[in-house]
This record gives sequence, C-alpha cells and structure tokens, in this order.
Amino acid sequence: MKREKRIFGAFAALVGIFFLVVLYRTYHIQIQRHEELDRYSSSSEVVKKIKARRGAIYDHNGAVLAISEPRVDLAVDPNGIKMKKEMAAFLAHEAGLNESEVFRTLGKKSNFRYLRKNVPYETVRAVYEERTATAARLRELERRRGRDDADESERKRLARWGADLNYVILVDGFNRIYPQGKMLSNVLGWVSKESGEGLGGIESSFNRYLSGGELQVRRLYIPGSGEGALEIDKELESGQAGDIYLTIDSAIQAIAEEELDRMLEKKPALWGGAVVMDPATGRILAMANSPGFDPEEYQKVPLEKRRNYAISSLFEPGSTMKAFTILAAMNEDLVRDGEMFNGHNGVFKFGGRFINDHDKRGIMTLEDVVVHSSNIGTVLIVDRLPSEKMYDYLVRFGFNERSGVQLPGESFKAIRPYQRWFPIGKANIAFGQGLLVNMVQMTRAMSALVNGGVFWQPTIVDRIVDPATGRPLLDMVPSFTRMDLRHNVDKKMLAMLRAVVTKGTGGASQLKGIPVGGKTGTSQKYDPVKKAYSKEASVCSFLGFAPADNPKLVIMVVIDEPKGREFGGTVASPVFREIARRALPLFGVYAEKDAKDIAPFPRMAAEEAIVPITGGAEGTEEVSALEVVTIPMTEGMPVARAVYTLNQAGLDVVVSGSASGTVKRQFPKGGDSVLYGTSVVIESDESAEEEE
Amino acid sequence: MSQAVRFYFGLFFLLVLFGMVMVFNIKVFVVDRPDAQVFSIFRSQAVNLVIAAIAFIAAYLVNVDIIRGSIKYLLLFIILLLLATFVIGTEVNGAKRWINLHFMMVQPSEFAKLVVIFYLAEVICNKRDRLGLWKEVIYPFSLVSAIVLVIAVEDLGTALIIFSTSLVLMLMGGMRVKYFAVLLSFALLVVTVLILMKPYRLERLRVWQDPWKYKQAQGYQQVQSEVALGRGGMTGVGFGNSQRKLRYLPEASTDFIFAIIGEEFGFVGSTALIGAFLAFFLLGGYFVLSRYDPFSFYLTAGIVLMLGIQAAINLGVVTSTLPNKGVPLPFISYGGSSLIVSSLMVGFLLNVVVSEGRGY
Repeated sequence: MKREKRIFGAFAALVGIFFLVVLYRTYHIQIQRHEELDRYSSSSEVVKKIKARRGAIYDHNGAVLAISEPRVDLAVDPNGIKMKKEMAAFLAHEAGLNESEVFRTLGKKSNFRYLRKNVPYETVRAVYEERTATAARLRELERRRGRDDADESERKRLARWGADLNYVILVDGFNRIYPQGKMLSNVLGWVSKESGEGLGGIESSFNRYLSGGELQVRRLYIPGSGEGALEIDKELESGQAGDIYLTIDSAIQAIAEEELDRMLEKKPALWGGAVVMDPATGRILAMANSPGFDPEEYQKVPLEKRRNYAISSLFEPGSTMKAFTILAAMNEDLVRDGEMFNGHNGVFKFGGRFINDHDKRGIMTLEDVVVHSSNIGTVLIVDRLPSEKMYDYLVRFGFNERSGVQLPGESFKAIRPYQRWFPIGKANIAFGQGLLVNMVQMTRAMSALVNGGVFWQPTIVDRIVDPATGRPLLDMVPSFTRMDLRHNVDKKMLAMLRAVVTKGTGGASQLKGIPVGGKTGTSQKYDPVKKAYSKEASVCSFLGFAPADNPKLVIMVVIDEPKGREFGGTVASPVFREIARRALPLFGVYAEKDAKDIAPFPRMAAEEAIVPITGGAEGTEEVSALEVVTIPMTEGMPVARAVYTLNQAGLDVVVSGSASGTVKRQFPKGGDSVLYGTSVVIESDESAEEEE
Repeated sequence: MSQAVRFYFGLFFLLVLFGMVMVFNIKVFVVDRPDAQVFSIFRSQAVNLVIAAIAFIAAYLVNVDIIRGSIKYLLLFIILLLLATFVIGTEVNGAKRWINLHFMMVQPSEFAKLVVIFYLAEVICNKRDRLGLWKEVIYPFSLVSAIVLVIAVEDLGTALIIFSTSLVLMLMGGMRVKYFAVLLSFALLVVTVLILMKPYRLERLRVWQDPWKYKQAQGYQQVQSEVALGRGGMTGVGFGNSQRKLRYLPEASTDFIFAIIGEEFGFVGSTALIGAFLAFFLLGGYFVLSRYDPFSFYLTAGIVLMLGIQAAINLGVVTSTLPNKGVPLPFISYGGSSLIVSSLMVGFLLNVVVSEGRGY
C-alpha cells in the first residue's frame, strides 16, 4: 500500500498547503488591508432621492425659452466639524460669505445646513483642492512621522482638518435659466428657488411633465475618502421629464413685447398686452405682457406683477364687441342689403335711457355704423335680435366660457343669463358693456370670423417630448366648434372692418402697402369700489387681422388705463400696426412697393369712446350689468379652504405653490371690491422640505 | 491511538458546537427579530443537532460491511433521489437542490458525497491492481461522472468536490497517470461546457479577478466578505458585534460564515479556525496513513480528502482566493444535510479507525 499512501500524502499535502495560502490571504485581508476595509465598512450606502433635471421649454422653432442648468449648493454638517473657526474663515472666504454668520451656522446642532445656494464653480473647486492638498500634506507628514516633534502636532491638526473638510457638503441641484430674459415671462411663469417646482404660468400648469418627478439613486458615502458623496451607482427609478415646445414664435413675441414697451414708454399705462394668433389653427404665436419681469429673479417682483394679464385680466371689450353682435344680427337675416339707420344726431332714448354717440350722425349705412362705431346704430340693429338668440350667439362666440388655452389662471365671467338682463341689458352688451372678456377669448372669436366660422381651442403648448427618445409624451389636439355663417356675412363684416381702418376709428392701424382690418375699442373702467364707471380710467384696445385679403395673423392689443385721454385708436392701433408691419414679412407678406403714404385719422380715432349709458327720467345713476364682490381674506387658511371660500364669493382662484400648505399671501388683498369672476392669486407657503 | 481519536473527536465536537453558536448568533441577533422566529431558528438548530448526533452515533456503531454489501442499492437510491430533485425539488435562491421533508430540507447531493466514497472504496477494493486496465477504469468512472454531472446542473461546487475526490481515490487505487490525465482533460472539457451553459458562472470568474469593480452587482458578495474580514483586524469586533451580518453580507450564516467569524474574532480567531481545520485534516491524514485494511484506507482517505477539499474551497472563496462558488464550511455552516453528512463521515471514519484498532 505504499504507492497509494504516497499518492494520498501528496494530495493531502496540496490541500494542507492550500490551507496555508488561505491563512496568508486572511492575514492580508484582516491585517494588511484592515484600515482600508474598516473605513469602507463605516461608509454608508443610502438610497437617495434627487430631483431629476427639469424639462426645457422651447418656442415653435426650437429656440430655448427656459432650461435647467446643473448647479451646486454649499452645505455643511455642523455636528461633524470640529475646527469651526478655521472652517468658518475658509468657507466664508471661498464662498464670499460673512465669516461670523458662517461660524454661527457651524455652531448649530444639526446634521445639515445650507450655507449658500448656487455657489460658483470656483468655490466647488476650492473645496476640492483644499481636500486634495490636505490629504497630500498629511501623507507627506505621515511618511516622516516620528522624526520631528513639531510635525506631530501639525499632523494631528491636518488629520482633523481633512476630516472636517469631509463634512462640507456640496449638493447637486439645478438652476432654471431663462436665456431670453424677460421675454414671455408672464406666460412661462417661474420656478421656486427652494423647491424647484414650477409656481406660475406654464412652469406651473405643466409642472407634472416638466419636473419629471424624482430620481432615485443609490449613493455611497465614504467618510475620510476625500469625497462626500462618492458615487451615483444606479438610477433605481427615474422620473421622465418632458421638454415642452410652445406654439410661440420668439421673433413675433419679441416684436410684440418691443412694440408694447415702446408704446408704454410713450404713453404710460397700468399695463399693456398683445396676443397674436394664427387664425387658421388657433395657435398663439405671441402673448406679450408689458411690463414683464425677469423669471430668474422673480422674487424681486411682487406676485401681482407676475400674472399673465392677457388671460387673467378681464375687461369690458367696448366697441370691438360690435363686430360680433352686428355679425350675429346679420347672420340671422335681420339686416337688409343697403338698409339705412338713423343716428338720431348722437342722442337716442332707448329703454328709458339715453344712448350717446360721440360722432353725431344722421342717416347711416351699415358700414357707417361699424366704421364710425355708432352706439345708436348698433343698438338699432342688435335690438332686432331676440335676447335668447343673442345670448346664444355670445355663448357660441365663446364669451361664456374659458377659451381653453392651456395656461393657469385664465379668468372668465359668465354672461348674465338673458332672462335676467336689464331692459337695457341687450343694448349694453351689443356695444360691449356689461360683459367681461379676456384677450384670448376675443382673439379666438376674431380668428373664427376670419377663418369662416371655426372656433379653435387656442393652443400655446404644441407638444411635450421625451428628450431622451424624442417620442412625444403629449400631443396637443385642439378641439373646435363651428358656427354656420350664411350669405357671406363674415366676408361682409371683414370688408367693413377693413373700412374701419381705411376710413374710420382704426386709422392709426393702417399699414403702408398692406391692407389690414380691425375694430377699435375704448371702454371706461368700472370702479368696483365706487360702483360707478370711472371718468379717467379706460381700457383701450384694437382687435384686428392682417393682411385683410388673406389674413395670416389676428392681433389684439390692449392698453390698460393709459394716462390722459386716450383711445383704442390712439394707443392700441399703432401697436397693432407696428406688430403687423414687422411680423408679416416673416409670413412672406411684403408691402407693395408703390403704395401711397398713409395719412392717419387722429381725429376719427378719438371719437369712439363708449360713454356709459346714463339713466333717463328716473335718475342719473349709471347702469351696469357688472356685479361687484368683496374679496374674502384667506391669508393663513389652508389652501383648499381658501379656494372654496373664494369660489363661493364668485372669484376665480389661481394657486401658486403646493395645494397642501396654507395661504401665505393673496392678491388682490382681502376686503378689496372687485368684479365678479376676477381671479385671485393665492400663494401657498409650500411644504418646507429643506433646512430639515 | 485513542489519544488521537479523542483529540479528533474533540475537534469535531468543538467545531460543530462553535458552528451552532455562530449560526445562532448570526441568525438571531438581527435587528427586530420577532421571538417566534428566534424560537423557530432555535428549534431547527436543535433538530439539526439531534439528527446529526444520531447520525454520528449510528455511523460510529454500524458494521461497515453491511453498507459495503448494500452499496449498489444505496447508489441506485441516491441516483433516483438526485433525479427526483429535478421534479419535486424545492428551489432556494435560484437553485433546485432540496427536497422538502417538512421537518427539514434534505439535500440529496450532500448525501451523494458519502455514497460515492463508499462506492469507490468498495470498487477499488474489489478491483485492486486491475485499475491499470482501461476497461476496468471506465465503468466506475462513467458512473461517478454521471452522478457528478447530475449534481453539477444545480450545484457545481459539490460536484467539483465529489469529482476531484473521486479522481484522487482512483489514482490511488492504481489508475495509470496516463488515464488520469485523459480523464482530467475530459473533465476540464465538461467543466468548460458547464460553465458556458450558465452564463453567471463565467461572470463569476471575471468578477473574481476584480470584485471591487463590480462591487454593487456581481462582486457584491465577494466585496462584502472582504469588508467583513477586514473589519475584524487583529482581534475582531467581539462576539455578536458583527455589523456586516446584519444586512450587508448575503449567506452570512451559510457559505460565508467564515467572514463573520473573522469579523467578530479577528485574525486571531480566523487563525484558530483555519488551524483547527488544518489540524483536523492532518490528523485525519494520519488516520488514513495508519490504515492496513484496504477498504478502511480508501474510505478514510475519501472522507478526509472530501472534508479537507470542501473546507479549503469554502475558505478560499471567502478570502477571494478562489472564485465565488457556494459550498458550505463543514461542521460550521448552517444547513441540516451538510451537518448530517459531515457527522456521518466523521462517524464512519472513527468507526473504522477504532474498530481496526480493536482488531476487528
């Protein structure tokens, strides 16, 4: 059995040797690599939620309107830092902060404190360089350890300093950048600097798509490794942020804002707005508010100035409404061709009240009524329309509902049901008083008149796209309704509206070499506090289309409360003209070269202001179909309750921020009297998710 | 002789006891373990221990000749059991190795280890000096290879242990080195095919090269094992104080129990344990070399080699000396079948050693 035993012995020896190899490996791991592995074992692995990069907003042509750029916030773990004085000096110097303030923060009992949000790259680099330098110096000293006593205290200090530096936390986040500055600001809205959530405008209404939720990452923190947050190993669950493409054309938007700003500079006013729409599709090409604000510095501008007035501000349209009410009468065959109307020389008693015309006229054609914006003529025509029918038309024109544009805070005011109209109510509404509209409703109605009766749901968001795949997450398919327009009434009305510009109140809208059409409007503002129409404050507007023969654009311009005695024809028309003049070439529409110079009609323009109907024999109080409500105070209420309260009072509500919080601010203030249907912005204190 | 036997048994007893304590320590001192679970762990441990004790005593007392006589039936039985596992087996962690007997999970591949040793010892004794002939080698080799292949499908580690032990035994039994080389290269071919069959096996080889590169994925276990060992340092973090057992290191109570032992008792403890295994192995080798009866010689040689190889592979895996291949550490790791079979092995070994000493 000797051979067998030898073979066994040989294999047993192999196994025995392997045990010794294992013993050596154990020594290597347990003793030689003890420190490294022990440090690793005290690292902690955490599943962390970080915010996904917010989606961008582009205009129709792909120009960037809003985009998120990575940024770094500087924070500390005060519990971990021992050399507080030195650290305060270091961080204050590198991040440009007040040293004593930093020192105070470092003294707090806390695991996490922000020092400064959005630190520049240099600060980040300085922290990293300090870490590397400390580690290098420490290694050097450890190599020479024991040779010099002075080195030992220095070594201890450096070791502590290196450890402290690891409690400086650099938090990754994102900055919202608006490369175009103020452009489109009231439409785009803004993004909270604290929570990163969209709080106004498109940023808010499409926040669900833009924010893309949260990104779950697994992170490993290795203390003493020279890096705080070491690695993002795995995206456990990623939210999908979408990029939004608007129908807005930056070029037209820029033109509209520029022209509005120019006009407001010349004629100061509360606010100016312009909406440019493609009548064929209902796409909004520009929506300008003046003055705007810088969305990156939104906190410097009060909340009320950040509203999108083009949709949130309601006004009595005045004469621009005549185009639609007269059209309704025409469409019902209530006006004969060539019929004449008696202008009663400017004063006409109707339903016990006096109706006045500025431009005192006698016998007028239908075109004269429109061109000279005759209140009396309009009332005579529209009175033929039964109240029920008229109400029906107003509803179908879209004045009784939101336009449906995908923006938050669109205001609308339901038209008082015809059964409850004052005897004079129909006349009142016929020339645009006693009902409230917003600019988009008007633009939409005009577009329908221009395109042959199709009422498009106005769109401002074209599509939402997944940036990773280019796949659309949401495609906007606008809905529409049709109105049957008979006997070419729309063509007749467009011809008359063209005449308004060539011969009537809209003269200042005339464009050299390109025919345009439209209707001016000037209405006294109703003062909800005094419950009377104001003598000075007016809303001046122009609603028009260009070019008149084949309209590419419908443009509405509103100037709210211009200083002094101004009219739609004097402040709004020129803005319309300039926008059309500069924007039309973008659509391949150029002025005829040999066109004659135009002499505007300033006198005419001034003659169309609507004078509120005053009482007849019974008294002189003004009659308004508008209801006034007092705004309840909602500050401090839970948001849900505030919304309910405001709705009960007949007010629209726009919530800015999280709906779970309580109301921090509201605008307008509680106790103010405003028109029924006005939208009130409430700002939630939003869930305080940071600073522990 | 009896001194050595007492020492051998003592080592075995201490290792089993230590394993019991460690497994209990690892499985119970986990955060918020409900009392009911503690009791059920305790009960299953107790059941395992009692069955192992019975197995050891039975193996120690039984007349080995009875088993020699019925080895063919045992072999047939174990092959059927292995095949049955494919059908009625219970899958745990993606491997179908167990048959659920409700009071315990039986792992037929573990029992196959012992049966194969018995079979080979018997065959070699019968065909002594004829294993130099190819036709005599090929039959037992094919049979063992078939068993190994069946096991390899679900449990490559055990298959490798059985196969390597078998080869050595046959070489000792007189198989020519030429055949040995042929069979070995054939076996390597089969192993290659097996590795390619399940892609994760190839990956394990790659991960073994640098587990830290894959530390969040395939290398996780390896890395956590090193971390646990490394945390231990010289003297360890103390009994019951392991941090890595809590949730970081998978299989802490089974295949990777040595890592936790290293963490809690440090290099001192690891050395003691490796030393104990080495001593146990060398003492076993001493028993083997002092056999006169051929059957006892091959039986003890098979048992000693198999236990030694298994322990070496386990420790090699935990220390990243070998690629990650899950085999339990004999006597220590949690697992009823493994403990029972190890006890049986030690029982049979001491049985033949003592009876031969008694002059059977």
